[in-house]
Amino acid sequence: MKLYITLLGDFDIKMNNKSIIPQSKKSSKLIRLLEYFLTFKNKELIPETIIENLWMDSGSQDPMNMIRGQIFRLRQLLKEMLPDEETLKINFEDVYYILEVSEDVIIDTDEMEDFIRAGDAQLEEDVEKSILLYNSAIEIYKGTYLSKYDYEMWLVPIRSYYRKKYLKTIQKLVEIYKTKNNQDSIIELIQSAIKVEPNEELLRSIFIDSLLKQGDLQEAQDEFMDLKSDFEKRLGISNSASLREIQMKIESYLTEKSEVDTHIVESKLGEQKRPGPVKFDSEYFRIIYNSYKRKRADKEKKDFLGIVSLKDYEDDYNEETYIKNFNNLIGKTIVSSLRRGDIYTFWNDTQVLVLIEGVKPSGEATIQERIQRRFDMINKYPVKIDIKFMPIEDRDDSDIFK
Amino acid sequence: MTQIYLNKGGEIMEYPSKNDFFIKFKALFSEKERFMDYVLVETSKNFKTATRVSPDKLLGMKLTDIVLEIDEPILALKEFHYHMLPKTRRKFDHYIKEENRQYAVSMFSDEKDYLLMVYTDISNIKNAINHNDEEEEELLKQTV
Repeated sequence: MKLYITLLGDFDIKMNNKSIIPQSKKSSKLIRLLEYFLTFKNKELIPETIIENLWMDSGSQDPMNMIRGQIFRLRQLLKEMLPDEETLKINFEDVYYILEVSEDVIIDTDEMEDFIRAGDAQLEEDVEKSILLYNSAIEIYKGTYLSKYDYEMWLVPIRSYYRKKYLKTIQKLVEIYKTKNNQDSIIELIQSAIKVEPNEELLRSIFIDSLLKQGDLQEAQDEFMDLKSDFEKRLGISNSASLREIQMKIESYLTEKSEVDTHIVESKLGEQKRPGPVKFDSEYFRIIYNSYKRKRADKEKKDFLGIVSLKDYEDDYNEETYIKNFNNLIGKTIVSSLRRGDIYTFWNDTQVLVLIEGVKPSGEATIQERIQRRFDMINKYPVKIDIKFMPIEDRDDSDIFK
Repeated sequence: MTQIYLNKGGEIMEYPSKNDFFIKFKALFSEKERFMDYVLVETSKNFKTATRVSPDKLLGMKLTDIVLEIDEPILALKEFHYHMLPKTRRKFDHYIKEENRQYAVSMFSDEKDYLLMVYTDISNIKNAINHNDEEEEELLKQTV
């Protein structure tokens, strides 16, 4: 006669679909010991480990004697519960206890892993069969491993393992459904998974994603608000990387679906307001410089190219340190000296180029002076710079009117 | 690193230690100070030689993810991870059939934040013991 043991969710041992676990409070300690043995079934356990994990806080004067007594009582209980002594048998070999589990026993954790393995094996040849097998595995996971216990340290790795295994299987199924563009199945799958693992952000994120793909914006937004409030209740925070990611998905969906006008395009292309100049790499700088050259001339204002160079250093100063100090100082100086919208680049180790746009007559001299003054203010090293500005005048307007 | 053992006669026997290695994990705790998982933070320099797995692939990974994603018979973390808990100390005998290699695996978590696993290759020692046992048995047979 087959015995079915459930460890995922509520613990149970069933025979002919009927639970055979005694419900008395007296046996709860023994049941806990049985659950421990089932977790480490067919594995040799030294008594010290069992004591450390289960009864560290018992305060017993003689824990070894205590465990002997508990195992004796557990054997008695198993004798009463089971039709055959061989079904679940606790043996003592040398210094180990070992729970031997007969072939008549089906444990849900093993069954779940078997289904996943079989599903993986079929993935290349028969996807439909994989879907069935993965779904069977998912159905077995009824909740956290031995969910009746709040927190017990020895349960942490086991719980994490099966939770991750469950979530990974869900992800595999979602990927299959995505290739089939089957959003309904994704939603159905995730809805039932959320009932089992309600606090799992990954599931909520997949769910919102699917709702958006189905065009169900309202429900996606509601789900997001629920998730956010759950987050606040559980963790006391109203924002996280995963929440931001989901919010971005919703916003991006809203933008894509809304009518495109110049305002939306501007907000999509634009960056957040920030003070000071923008740093570009030398290649982009070259492109922008050439676009400045092609601009129509403005009688009132001119654009300037500035070159800030490191002057020769003293012989007794280390070259590498000298250049490092220059780069550090000039970076800070440029950021604090130029206006928002001006651009600059580190052209090489010893030169920085700046582009300033729309400068009134002799304005470049003011900027040059400002750079020199701010550099001198923060410079505590024997570093000297040379600054030159030249107007960008060599415009080749013929390109534009071609 | 060299291991030195005293044999029954009191002589010092030395065995190669190129396959010995260690791995170190840092524990993750929740706000309520509850243990959640481990992250692999360090491996010994010979880790790759001993296991043929690049440490770059594993460093920074959570233990649960390593267990689920990396099926490596020498490390065998799937077998050990149930025992990997803060403030524990365990020792295992670990035989790798594919490599015909025997390890003694010691797990230390003296500080609750860290857990160290030391894999000591004891294949040569086991072989030497088995060889001695066989010789003794043969001698006993001849005497009887």
